[in-house]
Amino acid sequence: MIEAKDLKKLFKSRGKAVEALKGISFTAEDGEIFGLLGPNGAGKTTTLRILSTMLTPTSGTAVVEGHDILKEPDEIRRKIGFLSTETGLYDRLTPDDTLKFFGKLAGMESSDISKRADYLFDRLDLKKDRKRLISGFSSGMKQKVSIARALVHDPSVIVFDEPTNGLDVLTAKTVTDFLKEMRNEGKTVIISTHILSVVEKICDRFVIIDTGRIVAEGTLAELLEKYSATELEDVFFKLVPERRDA
Amino acid sequence: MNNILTIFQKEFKVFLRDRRTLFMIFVVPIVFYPLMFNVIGHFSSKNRNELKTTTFKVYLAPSVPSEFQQYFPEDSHIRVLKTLTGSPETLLQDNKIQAIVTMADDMEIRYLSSERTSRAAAARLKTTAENYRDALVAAKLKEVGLPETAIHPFKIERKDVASKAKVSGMFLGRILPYMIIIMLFSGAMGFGLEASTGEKEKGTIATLLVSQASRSQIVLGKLLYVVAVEFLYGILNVIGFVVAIGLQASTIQPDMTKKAGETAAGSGFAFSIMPQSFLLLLVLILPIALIAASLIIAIGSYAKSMKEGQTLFTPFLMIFILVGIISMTAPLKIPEYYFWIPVVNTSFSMQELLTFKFQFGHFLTTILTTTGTAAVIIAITIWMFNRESIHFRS
Repeated sequence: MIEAKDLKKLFKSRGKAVEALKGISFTAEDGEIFGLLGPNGAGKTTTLRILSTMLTPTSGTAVVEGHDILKEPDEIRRKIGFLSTETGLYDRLTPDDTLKFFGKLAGMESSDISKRADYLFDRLDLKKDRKRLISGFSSGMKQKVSIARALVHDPSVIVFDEPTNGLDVLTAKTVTDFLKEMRNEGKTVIISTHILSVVEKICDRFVIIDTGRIVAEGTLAELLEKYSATELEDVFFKLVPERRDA
Repeated sequence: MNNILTIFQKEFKVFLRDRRTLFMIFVVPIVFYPLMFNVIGHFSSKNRNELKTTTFKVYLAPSVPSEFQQYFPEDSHIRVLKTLTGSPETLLQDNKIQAIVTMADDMEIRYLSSERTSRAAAARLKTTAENYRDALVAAKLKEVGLPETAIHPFKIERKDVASKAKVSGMFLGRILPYMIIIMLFSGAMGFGLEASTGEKEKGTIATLLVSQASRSQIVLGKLLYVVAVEFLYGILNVIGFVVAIGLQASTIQPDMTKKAGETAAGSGFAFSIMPQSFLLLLVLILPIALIAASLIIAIGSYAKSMKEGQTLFTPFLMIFILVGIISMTAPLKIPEYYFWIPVVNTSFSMQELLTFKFQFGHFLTTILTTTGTAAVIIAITIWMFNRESIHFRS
């Protein structure tokens, strides 16, 4: 479970202060896919970076699986599997090397890493490419390796930032199916996206974030009813009117 | 500790799979230095031979006695011009002739120090002038019935009794500390930037930051890797250099090998280092390797791009090049306080070790000050790496 409590984040850039998060609070339960939907620059990535302990909030905090992000960041990193467009892979490693490396960092035994790698590569259809250098992979294959990398230590919380961004339809489906499977295993899955259809298809609940604030929260049905809309797109444009180009 | 080693192993695996880097590290020093010295040796030997056989045109003023020419050494290849197409001074300035000899009370040889041929011609004319003067003195002595020993009661001979190893050590003792320092820092720049800023550019730093390794472990793992590769890079370069210079010493440094050859031990270039001295050398190098590695990781973690990293590191590299130059142009007596300045003291301690003048006090001071400096810089690097503003700088 993830509980974000009034997260605020102030960045200072060239003497100017930019308030990226203006007090974000939400709860993502076990066994659900929770979405952060918003245009570019809304604060989704900053929120996920805070939850993954890459950034510390200026104020507020979050509790992940009972651990406070400010007090126990190491413990949190053991519990979560984080993936974003920024989490690149080492080109000169193979998928096998990658999982061994991150598995070892997670304190796993070699035999456990091997078993987990077999499962993940099988599930993500990477078996025949596991010994090839990643430098020769397509972006879809790289994304699959990234997913395997994020999940090698079998985390109970999955934090994926824009998981289907730039992927072809087939790879995107593999990713979304995999996320659903993890939800069904009882894991807490939190994703960020600016693609409305991803939210419609896989999110059990979601928040719409704009300019560092949550402007709506609920299930798809709840929000459609609340805003008297038939599609999520209508709800989104009602709440984020000035950002129609996003 | 496990995570530090895991990061080190990963870095090393990535390094071993980079063929271009491997080529640069292993092939270049072994091929480049012998090739470089071969080319230098070839051209310097060719130039010397050319100078030996080149005929120099000189002008002797009417005031120079005609018998002067009888004293030209054999194979001097000096051609005295009887007639000139212009003023001797203009011809000399244009290097059409290589020297002018005039005689009043004293003899004067005019030449251009900016021209190699003119310098060589002047040297031959000086020998000629000395021979001529000796002959005049001998004739005068004969006239008054005195033997030649009247003005040369004894011969003066200089005999160099330094061993080959000492002569070679003197030469390498000056150049090696410079090379080692430069190699360590330039090696650190290449590999350290790749391991720090390179991760930012490839987007792998975020992957590492969300892993279960702490930021201190990441820094220390990378530090271990950069030090290891720096050592490898530095040692291979120094070996390549020493071997190449040893092979080509007779053509590049004929004076040095000649001196070494005058000893009973025979001729040639000999560089030897006792195992314990080699070990002490490594102990001296380790702290500066750590200083270089931690500096570059700190800078590389801050920089947004490799280009920015190189720009930020360049002033430090210049400082260390300066340190190297200081060690090459050391005063006769090295002031004691030099041994309290980190990196400068490493250079001079290495010099003492290589020239058989090892002093334990200097060695100890050097180790303590450089290790202390390395520890401070590592602590600053870890502190910096723990700051999120370093990783997400806009």
